[in-house]
Amino acid sequence: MGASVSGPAQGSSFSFEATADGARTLVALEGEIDAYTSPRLTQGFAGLGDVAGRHVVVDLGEVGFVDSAGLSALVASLQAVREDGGAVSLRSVSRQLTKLFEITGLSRMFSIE
Amino acid sequence: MRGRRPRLDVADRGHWSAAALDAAADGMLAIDERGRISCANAAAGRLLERRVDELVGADAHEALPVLGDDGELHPRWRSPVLAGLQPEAAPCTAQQLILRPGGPALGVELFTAPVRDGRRAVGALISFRPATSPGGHDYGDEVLRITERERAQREFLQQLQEAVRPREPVVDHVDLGVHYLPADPNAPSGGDLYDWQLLPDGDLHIVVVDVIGSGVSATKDALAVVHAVRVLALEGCPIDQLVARTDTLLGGGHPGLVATLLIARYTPSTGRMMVAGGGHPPMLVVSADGEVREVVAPGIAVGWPGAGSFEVAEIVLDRCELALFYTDGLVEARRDILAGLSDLKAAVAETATYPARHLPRVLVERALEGANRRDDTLALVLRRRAAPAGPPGRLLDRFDHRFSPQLAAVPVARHLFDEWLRQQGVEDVDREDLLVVVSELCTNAVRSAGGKRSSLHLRARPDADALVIEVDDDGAGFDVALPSVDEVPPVEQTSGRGLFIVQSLVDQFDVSHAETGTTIRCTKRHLFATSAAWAPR
Repeated sequence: MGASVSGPAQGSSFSFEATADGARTLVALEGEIDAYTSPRLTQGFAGLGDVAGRHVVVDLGEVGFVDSAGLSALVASLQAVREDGGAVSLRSVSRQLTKLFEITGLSRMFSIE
Repeated sequence: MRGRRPRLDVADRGHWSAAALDAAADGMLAIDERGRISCANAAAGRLLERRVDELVGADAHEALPVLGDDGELHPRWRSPVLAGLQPEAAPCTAQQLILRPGGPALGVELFTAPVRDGRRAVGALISFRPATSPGGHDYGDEVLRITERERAQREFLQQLQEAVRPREPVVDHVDLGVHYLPADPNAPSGGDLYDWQLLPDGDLHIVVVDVIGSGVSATKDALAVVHAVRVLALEGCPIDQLVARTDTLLGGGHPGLVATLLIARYTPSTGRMMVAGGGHPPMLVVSADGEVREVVAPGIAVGWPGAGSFEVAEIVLDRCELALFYTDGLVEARRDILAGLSDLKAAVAETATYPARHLPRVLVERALEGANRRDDTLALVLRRRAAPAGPPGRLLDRFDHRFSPQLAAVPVARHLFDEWLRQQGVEDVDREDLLVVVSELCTNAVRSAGGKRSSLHLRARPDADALVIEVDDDGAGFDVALPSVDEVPPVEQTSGRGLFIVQSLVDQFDVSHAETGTTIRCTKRHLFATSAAWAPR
């Protein structure tokens, strides 16, 4: 679990940060993605604006925890980016997250850098 | 293994279909459930200006990029080419514009029809012809007939495959998993086959066979080998003689049969495994932290002069170590066999902690990713499960907390549980899995709860070397059928993945309903050191 969790009785920490870099949009996610925080993730992606022709790179290096609610929200957001004409790739996917992606058969949907 | 005996019998159903498809003037493609082209006829290659062998294995959406009315390419999720894979798809015909690399766009009449197994789309058939071509008879009907025939064939083949697959033995201290992918998605099974049997003395007998040839005749040969080995093993034939005796037994009756094989005899209580082979690639042993070693069991394949094992390899699997058996389809898909073996080692090192029932599928998916040809591919995994060594740890109080049934309680419960697991000394790999399990169970409970305060009740306790986790809620339970843990939820499915993950990560999963609510109980075994559970070597 990431260093962002400072005490046992706290809620999930989560942050979404998007930076434009030429034709790329770098999305840095941090914290835990579960049913509680996933609406914030969905909101973050919805707020990216026009992604047509853009390459959205999602950095998951600082994500300490993901469960199926988090996976579903992430997958739905990335599909929406694609439907709007953007390309998607994932970066710094942790071992545990790769495991969940592969167990659930979702890994084949994304290119992982 | 590639066929050495040419089979050119046109009356054979497979050859007839292939010949008929190649004779057609329309481009015809079969795609699998992921949209990958599994079969393409000659006309498809001509119309798309691609080689047919290039098309096979390619993604249909990429091979047939369709331009929308706005002049932009359709995104994958709206691609008319993949329309047949949609959940409620019906056969349909439409005029479309296909972009060809380096050539002018091609206006086509595109027909797609789903191939279903029950209600699930397992693939689709696509036919297309230039929109300007003089209208012949309606090929749509022809494709519909083929679709229907495919469905019937698939059903028959599935039954055949079920009959060929040995039932998985349930043995304590052993997790097993297997995945098989035939070279030809339309063939029932090929020349790769496995066997796993519990012998009367409690040992496990495991065999992986790779027969030269393809299709039903190869399956027949592979079955003959597997059965011969099983009967000989049950009769007490020493493992070092199994390959030679099998060869003798099958000698006269099966002219032309050549089979490489690996045979293992495994003692679950001690982790001891003896391995004998006949011309088969090495077995791999992988530790939980990803260290991989080859176990070579040299010998000559059944059906070749001098068939037999040269020596028997003997190893002891440590706690959480796994043995990986496979056929050469797993290491030859993309590259030569040595490079393939090193790729496989890297893949299995990364995935060493995956649940045994999913690991073989993941390895096959990784090996075939980007591959443009595909042989029969089989992967079989055995993992030793045992409690950690050493004296029993300090057992703490039970975990017992109540929460309000709100999503905000899920991370709170998870973090408390994390602390508790750390205090119990649970290893990181197991702890990470268990946190996902608890997160899923609590989310599930919140969603189905009636809403009374403190009605979400999470409990956990060690039971010998196992951990038992229970979650209560005051809801009436969920009416969705529990997902099958062996079948990956379809990508487009939005719910039900949580319980699939839970069942994948624990050893036992029960749901019980009472008037007061619903309880889910999960058990994960072999987590804690207990003096009784550890049998020293």
